[in-house]
Formats: sequence, structure tokens, C-alpha cells
Amino acid sequence: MNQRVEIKRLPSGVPGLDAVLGGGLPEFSFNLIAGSPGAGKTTLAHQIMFANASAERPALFITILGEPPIKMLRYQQQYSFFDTAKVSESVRFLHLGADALDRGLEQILAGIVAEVEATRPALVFVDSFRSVARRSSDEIELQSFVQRLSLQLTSWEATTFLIGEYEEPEAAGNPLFTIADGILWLSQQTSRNSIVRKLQVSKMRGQGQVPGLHTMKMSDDGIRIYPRLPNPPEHTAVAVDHRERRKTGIAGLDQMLAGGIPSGYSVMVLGPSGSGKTVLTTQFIREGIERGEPGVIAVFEKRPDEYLTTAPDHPQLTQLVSSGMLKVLYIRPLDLSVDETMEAISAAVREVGAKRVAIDSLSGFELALAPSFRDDFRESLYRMIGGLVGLDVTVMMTCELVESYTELRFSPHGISFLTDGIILQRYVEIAGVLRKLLLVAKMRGIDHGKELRLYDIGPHGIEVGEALAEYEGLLSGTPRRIGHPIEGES
Amino acid sequence: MKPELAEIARRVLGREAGESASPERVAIGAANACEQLTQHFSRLIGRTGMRLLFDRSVLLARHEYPWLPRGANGLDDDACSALADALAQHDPGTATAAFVAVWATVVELLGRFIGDALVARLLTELWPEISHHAPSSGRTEDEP
Repeated sequence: MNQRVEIKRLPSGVPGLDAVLGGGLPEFSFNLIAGSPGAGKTTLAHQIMFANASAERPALFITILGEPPIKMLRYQQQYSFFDTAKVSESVRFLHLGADALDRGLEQILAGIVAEVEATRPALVFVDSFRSVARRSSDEIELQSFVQRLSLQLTSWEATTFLIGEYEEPEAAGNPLFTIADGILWLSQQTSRNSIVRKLQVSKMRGQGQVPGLHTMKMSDDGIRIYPRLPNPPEHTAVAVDHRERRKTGIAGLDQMLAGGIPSGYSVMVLGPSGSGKTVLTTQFIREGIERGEPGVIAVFEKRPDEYLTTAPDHPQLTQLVSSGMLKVLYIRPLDLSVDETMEAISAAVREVGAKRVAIDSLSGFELALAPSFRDDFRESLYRMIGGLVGLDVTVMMTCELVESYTELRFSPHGISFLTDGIILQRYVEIAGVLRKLLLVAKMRGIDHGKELRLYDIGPHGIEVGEALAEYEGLLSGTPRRIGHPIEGES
Repeated sequence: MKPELAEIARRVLGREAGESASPERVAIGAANACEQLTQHFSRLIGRTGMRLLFDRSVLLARHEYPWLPRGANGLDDDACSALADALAQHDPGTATAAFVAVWATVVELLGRFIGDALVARLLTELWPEISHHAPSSGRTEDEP
């Protein structure tokens, strides 16, 4: 007989939070929602309360000092989750006020317990608990108070949330943090003119929460959490030879790739402005759709309609969008997180059942990120590529590269090692004419062509031409025909 | 003052004061209605918040009824008794009108801060047979 107690988990009502918590909020747990002023603590508590409160599971929200309740109620009603119909029915507000504090911790405890005994709430919130804790400078007294409060509320089978303004260093040695079953830290990071909200579940007894700082966004609908992407798993053991190939739709390039890009690969297309990176990626996406593989294009620099109308084959692309085989995703906010981007792309992939994804461009993506995320762009990209490949899609990303003829660089961010493949586009002057060159610099595990090939962009997209076998020094910017010494040289 | 709130105030007073229209009954009814309202909403917004709204309402009503008592340092916990004592000094018609002015203004102010729907809901808890209509929000023109 299995006598192990099963802990029921309550849905938080906050999109993304249940996944971070490891399944939801443990019933009868004693939790702390901590963070700096303005971090969203009260909003988070209200959202949880209105999501869970019902006639069978009434909620009690106790306010003690902190934000004046008349203002709290005024502002919280602006969120769509605030359900006036629940107030007094399943949600009760109680303001204990400053005079309760004057009477000391014992009286506060007695007041809370009396109300709990009278109304038997299944959910109890105390805001701000920090004002209560400040009543005592005696750590033993505070510990005893918190312990008795926890026991009293648990004995009434209440899931409790204490809300308090705390900074992380205060957690050490604070009895509240020891006694709490769960701790949700809310913080704000300011970098230049951008503010990014983060949530961390630093403790959740009895279940495996997702570690790390998760991006938190607030809108008229309340709080939404974008769970931090885990580090990507190691490459699967599927031999490259056995992987299906995704043709690019460019005959000469597919030939260089020995049949196409292995499925599930991430490939970066690098080149200077105007070299045709977007043309190559749209061809790759369109080719997939013609083969019955829907696609997603995530654009950061142009709006979808603008993007489609400037593509060389825009009527067809527009038609593909209408048919539901192609989704053009526009992601532009300047305080974006990688997790939010990933969430948007994942949703689009699921929506159309995509097998191919194009990100155009990484330079635009970097600009769209909040400055604090730009600082660790490589790590962000590493996790995003892993997340995308985990969706069973083949990814093509463009990245603008400033031409340098003194070195062979593969990306301005030092990120080329993150991808499975690199296709490089370059300008070269041959006989006084500016031509375009293409090179497959890397394609993990396959014996790809190493030659430099000329290409042109025509009405049907990129057409790869001959290999420039009779030239050398092409990447230096000063090519010369083999066997034809430069003038002046002996 | 909104006419619909004034009407609700009259009904509340009528319920608390009973049929008899003696000055004493009006005063007792007004004290009951005042105390129930302040206690009920104090649970939600706190005693201080409620006292301040009540004080402001009395101040506004004093333009028309200057004999209404003004709290020395904001209204104290006996504000409702003080209001009732003052009402008892006047004829039932004047006392009712003064009570309606104070009570309706308190409710209107509450509505402006926490929303008419929430206020109506809480009033219905107190007086289920009369406070069914949510007043519409917005400033009245006669407020100074």
C-alpha cells in the first residue's frame, strides 16, 4: 500500500509560472513573495488569489500598512484578472491598519487567527508582512511569531502568502526565509534606459522548481512569466549521414552541401549588407514549403508586410502566408528577453507545424534585446538555438558582417561556434567588377564543398555559378589569376 | 450629489429609522446607518481611510448645513454619534436632508476610488433590499 502523501498543486493563474514552480503552488504551503518596491509583489498575489478563489476555496487578503488599501484596490482593478463579482463572495479584504501594529505581534497574530477562524479561508495573503516583521527587533520573538502563524494557518489548511519588501542579502539569517516553504523573489534590473523584471523561485519545498532568473512582464492582463530556457542538451547521437537533408532551393548550394542541410541543424548565413542573406533564407523557407514543410520567419528589423513586399518573390510569399504554410513573425520591442523571443517563435512553430525557421537577423535580434540581455548575448543565443533545435526544426539565421580583408571573421559576436553550419557571402572585385562569392565554411559532420563560388541574385533568387578555381587570394580582397603575376611583380 | 445615491441614502435611513419620523428616530437611524457604513468599509480600506472620506463628506455638506459637526482633528471614532447628536437638534426633514448629503457623498467618493461596482456590491451586503443599483461614476457638477 502506498501511504505517501500526495501534495495537491494549485494553478497559480500566472502564465508561465506553474512551469517554473515545478507544477503549481503546493496546497497548504507557507510562502513568501519578496522583492523591492514596484517589483509586482501585490499584483502577483492578487493574480494568484483571483485565479484560485471560489466559494469552496475562499480567500482572505489582509493588508497591514504598506500600500494604502484604497489605492491598492483602485489600481488592482485595472487588471483584467480582478473580478469584482468575487469580492465579498469568495474574496475578502481585511485591513488591520497601523493600530494593530501598535498592539504588538501577539495582537496581530490574534487578529489574523480570529479572522481565519471566522471565515475559514483556503488562501491567506498578508501584505505587507515586512511592516509586521519590523515590529520586532528580537529575532527569537519574530521566529516564534512566524512559526506560530505558519502552524495556525497550516492547521486551518490555508495556503499562505506573506508579501514583503526584502532585498536578497536580507534573506541570510532571517527566520522567515527559513520557515517559509516557498520563496518567490521579484526583482528589477535597470540597464541604461531599460528595465527588465525577473522572478526567481529560490525555494519550493517538495517539488523541483526551474532554477534561475525568469523574465517577467506586466500588462493589462497582469503578470506573465517567460521561463528561462535551459541549456541545450548535447547533440543527439543520430549520425549525420542518417539525417534527412533539407534542400535550400538553390541547386548550386545544395550541391556544395552534398544534398542539403542536415535536418535539425542550425546554420548561420553571414555576409555584408546587400549580399543577399535574406534572399537565401526566404528561398530556404519557400523550398521547404514546396516540399510540404511549413516555415516560420522571425523578423526584427522590418514589419511583416514590408518584409514580404521587399522579398524578391513577394507575391508567392504573401500567398504562402495566406495558405497558412508560412508565418512571418515580427518581434520588435526593445526590452525583449531571449525567453520571450523563444516563446513567440515556439508558438508560431506549433501554429503552422513548422519544420524550418529563419531568423532575420541576429543583428536585429540583438538590438531588440534589453541591454541587460545584450551583455550575455552569446549565452542567450546558445540557449535559443538549443531551444529551437529542440523543436525539431532546421534553423537558418542571418548575420551582417562588416567586410574585413585582413582577417576571416565568421561573426561579429564570436558566436559562430554555436551553430552547426556557416555559409559565408562576400564581395570581391574581379576585373573591375564587384561580384558576389559564396562559401560553405562549416557544415558539421558532412563532406561539403570547400570551393568559393560566384553567385548572382536574379528574379528567382540566388543562382550559384562556377567555382573560381583559377583565382587565389579571393578572401584577401586582392585576388589574382593563378599564373598571372600582379603587375610589377617578377 | 448624485440623485440616485441620495435616493439610496433616504431608503437606508428609512430602514434604520423606521416609520416614525421623530427627530430622535432620525438621529438613531442616521447613527446606525453611519456606523454600519464606516465599519463595513473600514475592513476594506482601513479606519483611517474611511474617517478621512467621511470628514471630507461632512466638510462638503457643511456648505449647505453649516451646523454639521466638524471633527477637531479629522473625525474621531465617535463621528457617527456626533453626527446623530447634531441631526437630533433639527426637524426631521432638515435632518434627513443633511444626513443624505453626507452619506451620499461618502458613497460617491468611495465609488470614485475603488469603483462603483465594488461599492454597490458591498452596500448590497449591508442593505440587500435597497442597494441593488450601481451608481455611475464621475464627478458631479455641484461639488466645489
